[in-house]
Amino acid sequence: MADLKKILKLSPAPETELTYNQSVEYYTRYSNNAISENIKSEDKMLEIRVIKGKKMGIASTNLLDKKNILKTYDKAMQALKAGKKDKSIIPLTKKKKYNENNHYNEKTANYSPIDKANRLKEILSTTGDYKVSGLFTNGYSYYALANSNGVNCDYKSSSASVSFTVQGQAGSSSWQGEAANIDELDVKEIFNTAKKYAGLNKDAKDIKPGKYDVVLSPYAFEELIFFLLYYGLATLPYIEKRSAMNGKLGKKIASEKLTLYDNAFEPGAGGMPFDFEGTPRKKVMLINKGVLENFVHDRRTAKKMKTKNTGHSIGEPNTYGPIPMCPVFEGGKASPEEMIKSMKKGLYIRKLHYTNVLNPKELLVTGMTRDGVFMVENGEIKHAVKNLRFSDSLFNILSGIDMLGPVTAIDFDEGWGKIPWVKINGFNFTSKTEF
Amino acid sequence: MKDICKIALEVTDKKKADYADIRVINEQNQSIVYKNGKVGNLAQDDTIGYGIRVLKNGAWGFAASDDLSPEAIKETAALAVTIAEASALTIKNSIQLADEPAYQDTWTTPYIINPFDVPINEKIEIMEQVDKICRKTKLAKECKVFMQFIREHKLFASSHGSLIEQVIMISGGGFKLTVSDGNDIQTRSYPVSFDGIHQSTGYEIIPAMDMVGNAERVREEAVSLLKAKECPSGIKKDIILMPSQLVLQIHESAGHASELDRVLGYEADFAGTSFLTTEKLDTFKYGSDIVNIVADSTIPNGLATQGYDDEGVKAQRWHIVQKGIHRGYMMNRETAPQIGKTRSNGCNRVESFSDIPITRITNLSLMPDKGTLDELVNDTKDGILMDTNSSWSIDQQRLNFQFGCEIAWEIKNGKIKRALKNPYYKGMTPEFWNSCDAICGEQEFKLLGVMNCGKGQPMQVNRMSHGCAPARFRKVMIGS
Repeated sequence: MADLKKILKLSPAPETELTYNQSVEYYTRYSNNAISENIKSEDKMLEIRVIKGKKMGIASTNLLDKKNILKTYDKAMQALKAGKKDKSIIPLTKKKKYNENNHYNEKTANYSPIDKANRLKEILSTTGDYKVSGLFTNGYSYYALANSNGVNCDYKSSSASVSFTVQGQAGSSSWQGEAANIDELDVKEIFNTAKKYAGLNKDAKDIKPGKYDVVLSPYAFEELIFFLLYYGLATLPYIEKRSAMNGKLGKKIASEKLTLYDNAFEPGAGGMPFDFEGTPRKKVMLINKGVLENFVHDRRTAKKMKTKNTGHSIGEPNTYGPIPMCPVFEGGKASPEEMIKSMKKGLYIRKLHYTNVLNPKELLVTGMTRDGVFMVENGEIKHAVKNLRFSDSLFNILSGIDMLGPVTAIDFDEGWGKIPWVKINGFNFTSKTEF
Repeated sequence: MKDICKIALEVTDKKKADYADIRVINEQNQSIVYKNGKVGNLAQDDTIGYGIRVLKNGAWGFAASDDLSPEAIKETAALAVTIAEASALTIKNSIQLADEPAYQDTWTTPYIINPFDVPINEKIEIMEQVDKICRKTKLAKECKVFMQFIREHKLFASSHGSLIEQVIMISGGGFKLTVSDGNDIQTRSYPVSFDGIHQSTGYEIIPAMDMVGNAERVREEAVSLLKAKECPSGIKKDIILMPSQLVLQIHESAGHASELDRVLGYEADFAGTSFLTTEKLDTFKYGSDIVNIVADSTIPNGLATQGYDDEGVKAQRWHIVQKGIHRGYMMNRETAPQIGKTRSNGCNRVESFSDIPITRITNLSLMPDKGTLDELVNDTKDGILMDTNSSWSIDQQRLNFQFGCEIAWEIKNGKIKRALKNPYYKGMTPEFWNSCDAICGEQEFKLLGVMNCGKGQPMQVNRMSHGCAPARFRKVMIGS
C-alpha cells in the first residue's frame, strides 16, 4: 500500500491531491464442466493531481518508488504549465469527519483458487447430461485519498460472487449470487437453482410479441435499473437540460409502490463512507412512492441547484457529475411464488440480456430475455417460451410495477444496492428470436 | 523486460510446466476530454506489469503482478503453476495447443508524428475551436471533444522459444454535440459516435480528420433534428446504412458470432454463445452472394493490427464470410484444434498485463463491391438512409438485433429528401445479411473501428477496426 502522507511531501505544487487504487482479484471461470480460466490479478494506480494559480495537471503511475513518483509529479506539473487558466477549478476539499463502514472480510479477500477448485470439483463432476459453465470470484479493493488540505481517508472492501449457467439439450438456465463475505454464498444451492430451471426450460414455444404482465428476478430488474440510475437519475444532465427527468422533479414518474434511495450505510448493502473527494456520504431519497424527490450531489451540482452536497462526487475533474452508488429499493411482502400465483396470464423472466437505451429523452430501452422465460397461466408455470425482445420507456415500465418482493444485495462496483423481485404489468415485447 | 521473462520462465520450467508464456507490458495512455468550454478530464497514465500463463496437467493457470522485483516475479510464476494444478482437478480433457513456430522478432506500428511529443496545449487549442463552433447556438447543452493516444510496448516470451517485442501506437479523436429545445434532445457526432475514430497511427490522424472544418455542419444537423419528423416505425423499408452504422452491425452480428470460444461454449455464462455453430462451417448461407467479410490483422492502421497476437501467433488474413458462405472463425491456439484446424489465426489478445489472453475479434471488414453512394441512392425508389450508431442490442446467440442511429434521411425516387430523427431498425442476422443487394465500391470504403469492445470476466476492453462502404438491405423492419 502506498504511504500517501509521505508522497504528498514530495509535491512541488501548492495544492495536491493523491488517489490510490489497489485491487486483488481471483477469477475462476468454468465451461463445458471444467475450469477453463483461473487467474489471480493484481493492479494498483496512484493518481497525482496538482493545482496552482487556477491551473491543473494530472498524471498516474503504478510504480511507487521515489524516482517514478517524482517523474509522475513532473509530468503532472508539465501538463499544468502547458494548460490555460481555468476559473472553474475548485479548491481541494477540507478534512471532514465520516462514519466508518466495514465491508471487508479477510477470508473473502484471500480465498484461494485451490479452495475454489475443490468446491467446484464436486459440482462439475456430477452434471449428468448438462453442460455447466460459470464464474466464481473473490478478492478485495482498496481506495485511499489524501490532499494538501489534510484529507486522509481510506476504505477497503471484499466481495465474492458465483454464477452457473446450466445447458441441457432442450434449453438452459442460470442463477447467481454475490456477497461481501464468501461464507454467505451458498454455492451448491445457486447451482441447484440454475439446474432446476434448466430442467423446466424445454420444448420452448413461440409466442406472439405484445404486452404481458411479467415477474422479474432481481438480476433481471437490475438490467433495467442501470439505465434509471445512470441516465435518468444522473444529476448533471438534469442541470444541463438534457435529461429525461427535466420538468419531472417533484412529479410522479413511477408506480406509488416504488421507493428508491441511495444509502452508503444501508444494513446488508452500502459502501464507501465518503465520496471520491473525501466528502461524507449522506442518505438521499431519490424516488418516494413514485415521486421524483431528489438527485444526489457533489460540490458543483449542489451549488448549481442551491442545495447541500450529499457526498456523491465521482472525483475531480469529470464530465459526468454525481451518480447514485448504493441504490436501495424498498422491497415488498410478496414472495416470487405469490407473484406468479397472482398472474392470470404472464411471463416469468429470470434474466435479461444486452439492454441498451434507444432514446435517452424517453428513457426508451430495449433488450432480450435469456436463460429461461416461462409462460404463466392461472397462477401456474405452464411451459417455456422462446426468447423475446422488449422495447419500452422506463417510465411505462416503472409505472407498471404492481407487486414487490424480497430484495437481494447486488454489487454496483462503487457500492452495494438492494434490488427486489418485481411484478410489472403491461411489459412490452416487440419481437422474438429462434431459441 | 527480458530479465523479467527469463526469471519467470526459469521458475515455470523448474516447476515442470508443460508450457508457459509471459507478457510484459508498458502502456502509456493520454486521454483528454474537453467539455463546454473547459478541460473536463485529463488522464496521463503510465503502467507496467506482467502476466504469466502456465499449462500444467492439461489445464491453465494465470497470475499477474506489477511488482518488478525478482522475488515477486518468482512468486507470481510459482503461483501461476499452482493455479494450473488446481484447475486440473476439474478437467476431463487436457488442453492441446495448435502448433506455432517460435519467433524472435520485433514489430512497430508505422507512424509519422509521435502523439506524446505533441504539446497538450496544441491539442486543447483544436478542441477549443471545435467547442466554440458547436456551442454557437443557445440550443447546445453539451459539447464533448475527445482525443486519446496509447503507446503499448510489450514483450512476449514463451517456453517454446518465442521472444517478440512490439510497439503499438493508437491515436484518435472526435466530438459530439447534444442540443435541446426543451421538448426534445438530439445528438450528432463526428466522425463517428462513441469517442470518434481511432487507428493504429500517429498524431497525423488528428489534422486529417478536420474536426474544426466539420463542426458547423454537425451543429446545424443536430439543431435541424429537433424539428425533424420521426422516422417511420413498424413497417418494412429498404435501408442504406452508412459506414458509421454498418461497422457496428459487422462487429455485433459477424464479429462476435464468429468467435470460436463463444461457439464452443466458453462464454456461455456471460457473453453468450453463437448461432454460427461448427457444422455450419463452409455450408451455411450467412449472407447474399455479394457479402464478403474478411478478418485481417495485417491491414495498415487497423486497431487490431500487430505483428503477433498475445500468444505469439503471427498476424493473418482470412474470410469469415465468402460470397455469402460462412468460411471461418476467430480462433486461438486452444480452440483451433477443437474443430480440426492445425493452426490458430491469431485472435488471442489481452487488454493489459494483468489479463489472460482471450479470443477477440480482429480487424473485420465488409469488402466493397461497386458503384458510388450517389448511384446507390439513385437506384433506391423508396427507402431510408441511416447514419451514425447511437444504440445497439443483440441476443446472446447473435441473431435478433436492434440498432439505433443518430440521423436518417428519407429517399424518394432516387433522391435524398428530408432528415428524420430517432431511426431504429431490427432483424435477424442471416435474414438481414441475405437481404443485402448492393455494396458501394472501394471509393466509398471507410476504415472505422470500436475502442470499447467488452468481453470476458474480469471484463477486458479491447479495440478493433471495421471497414465498409455504404450498403443497401431490402425490406428491413424499422422503428422500435
